[in-house]
Order: sequence, then structure tokens, then C-alpha cells
Amino acid sequence: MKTRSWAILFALLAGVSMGAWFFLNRGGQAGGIATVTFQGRVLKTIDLSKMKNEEFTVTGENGLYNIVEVQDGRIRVREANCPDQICVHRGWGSSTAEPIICLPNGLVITIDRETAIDGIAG
Amino acid sequence: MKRILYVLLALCLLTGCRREEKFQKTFLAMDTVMTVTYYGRDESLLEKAQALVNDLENRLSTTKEGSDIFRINAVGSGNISGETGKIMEKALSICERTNGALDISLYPVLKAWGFTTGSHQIPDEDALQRLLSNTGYEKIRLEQERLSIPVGMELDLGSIAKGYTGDAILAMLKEAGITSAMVDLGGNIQTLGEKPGNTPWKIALKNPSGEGYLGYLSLAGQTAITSGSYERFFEENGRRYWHILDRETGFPADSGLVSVTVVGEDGALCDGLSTALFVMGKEKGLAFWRSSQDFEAIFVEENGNVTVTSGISNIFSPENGVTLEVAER
Repeated sequence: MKTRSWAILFALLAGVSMGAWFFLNRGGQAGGIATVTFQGRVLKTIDLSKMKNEEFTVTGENGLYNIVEVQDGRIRVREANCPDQICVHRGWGSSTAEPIICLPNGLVITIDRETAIDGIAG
Repeated sequence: MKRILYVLLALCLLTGCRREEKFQKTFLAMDTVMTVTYYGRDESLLEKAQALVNDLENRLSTTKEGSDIFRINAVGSGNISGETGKIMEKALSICERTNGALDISLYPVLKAWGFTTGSHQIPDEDALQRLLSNTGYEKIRLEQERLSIPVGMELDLGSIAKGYTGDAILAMLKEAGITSAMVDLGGNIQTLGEKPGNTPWKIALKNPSGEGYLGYLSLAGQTAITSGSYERFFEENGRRYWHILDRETGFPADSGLVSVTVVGEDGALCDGLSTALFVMGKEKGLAFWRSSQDFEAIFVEENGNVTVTSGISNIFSPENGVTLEVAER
């Protein structure tokens, strides 16, 4: 290859990586990576931007279950038989600052998606 | 020319590797949700933080058999090891400083209300008076490493354990060379330094009356810890009963507040004071603040009024529609 071709290739690479950098650093968009942890172990990681709709159930030894629904790039606990129903009322998860939790059943769903807020106090 | 390009490419890759990464882990401990976040190069500190939390929980838990506190509550006295001794000293100093607005000896009363099990009930007046006659932090004896409590009293460090744990995690991270970290222990936010790029951590403050936020705090190395009647409560005959108790009555502290957020450098102190200020109420709480130098606070009243102390009025911006009153020294 000639030096000029290399220069063009390099410029292209630089352009693509800069584009990727801006893409990855923009905030408040839909999608992101959801990590589902059940009783201390990572059960699955879901790329929400792929928009593949699915549903699965996690059941603990105590007989408690949570039905997790992934739909149109969002994730939530659709149904559960835990006593407090906090996970269900929480609705669709949207950001890192607010994970979806079911304390009684040990379910934690975190969503790696940057927003303007780093944390929620209270 | 070709060579220069190779060198440039190599440089790009190298600097890419050297950039600090964000590490984050969410886990369940101490009956709540914890998230540890930091910027650095060593992922193993996440495991180390979680191990530290588990260790402290095993020492300080009221309900875990084998914890220092469980043992003292069961037999009334015993030796307590280094870490438990330190937190106990700290807890007692806050009880004393707040004149009992924080009292770590009320566990039997909390149990009578069912807040420890979730089978809530209103205890009858006689039972409450009997339980209260055995409580009172003044009766706790801590000499050297020997702790003893009277018969009928049980200790509960729930009001400061999480703040203390957050301090311990951040100290461990700092020791490991981290300069930018945040821990969220069930809504208690504690920060180390700022985010990369010298921007403060932006923390939304939950609205105690339900949806949305009251406003946003910009934190750089401080802690923000809230106690509120909206966190754990039950309703009976149209009345609401919450878990923060007044040691004078044995009933939920009814001071006209729905929440207090304390901001400061010392997490354990902020945690203990958030409970104490909630019990005191706004007027006494503000008087206490005026006689102190080591914390700031946000008071939210039942009628929706929000009062912020002057030392943090510049780092708190209210949500649209929320009006603030600034308390001056």
C-alpha cells in the first residue's frame, strides 16, 4: 500500500473511533446493557438495544418467583409472588442510578445506561 | 512516513489502555441494596468492598447469630473487638450529643411494633412503658473493650451502621489509590472526590411524598443520608406509623417532619444525625445545627415546606415547583 492509502485508512480509523466515542458517551438514550443477578450470581446479561423481546422466570428455593420481561429495549419485573411487590411496582428500569430489586427473592437487575443523575438519595 | 503512522497508531492504543475505567457492582446486604462505583484500573476492589460489607454485617447485625451485637443482646455483656468497639463509641457519642434524640437501645420497642419482622401492630401502653423502663443509652456501659447492658435492653446499630460501612469502603478505596468513588447503601449516598473531569456527583433527592424528586445535590467528597417516615411504615385505621421512634413515648417520632437529609464529611455521623434530627423536628434541629459545625441539613415538613441550611444552599438546586427556605446561622 502507498503511504497515502495508509494516511486515508488512518484518518478513517480515527473518524470511526471518535464517532464511537461520542456515541458511547452520549447520555439518556434508550437501550443499554442489563445485568440480571439472582441470589448473588450473574444469571444473564441482556443487550437491550438489540430489541429482542423475551420473558423468563427466576424461582428461588423459598418458592418465590419473578417474571422478567424484556420489551422494545426496556426491562421490568412483570409479575412476582413476593410479599411487598416492590419489584413489580418499580416498573420499567431506565438507568444505572435506579436498579430493579426484589429483596425477598434476591433479584437485582442493573442497567448500564448513563443519565444525568449519578445516584438517588433518600 | 509509514513509520510515523505506526508510532501514532501504537500511541493511540497505549493511551486507550491507560484510561481509567468505571467499575460498578450492585448487591444485596444489610437488608438493602448497595451499589459501589469507582474509577480506576483494578476491578478486584469491587470484591474487596463487598467482602468488607459482609464482614461488618457479620459483626454488627442485630439478627445474625454470632454477631457481636447479637451476642451482647443475648447475654447482656461481653468483650467487643476493635471495629465493633469503634462504632459503639461513635454511636454512644452521638446519643449523648443529641441528648437521646438518637438512642441505640430501643430495639425491644421496635420489636414490639413489629418493624423487625414485618408483622406490624400497635403495642398497648402498659407493654410500651414496661419496655421503655429498661431502655436508655445512659445505662450502656463501655469500659475498655467490655460492653454491658441491663436486663431487658437490646442494642441496634441500624441507625449508624450503613454510614459507618460507607466510610469504611471509601477509606479502603482511597488507600488503594482511588480518587473518585461513590457508594449508594440503600439510598445513603457517600462520595470520594469528584467524577473524572472535575465534575461533582449529581444526586437526585427523592420526594418523600411519592413521585419524582425534590431537587439535586452536587456532592464532591461529601455524604448525603436521609431518614424519613416514608421508608418503613404501616397504616392502621387511617393512621400511619413509622419506624423512627421517640424514646420519650415509645411511639413513632411525630415532629411534623417527613424526612431529614444530612450532608457532611463523616458518614457515620450523618447517618446517626439524620435519625436524631428527624426526632427533634425542624425548630430544635435547626438550633442543634446552629450550635454545630460539622454538618448541614435539608428538612422536609408534612405540609411540603423544604428548609435547607445555608452551608449547602449553593449545592442544592430544587426541582421546578419546589420552593425553598434557607436557614441562616
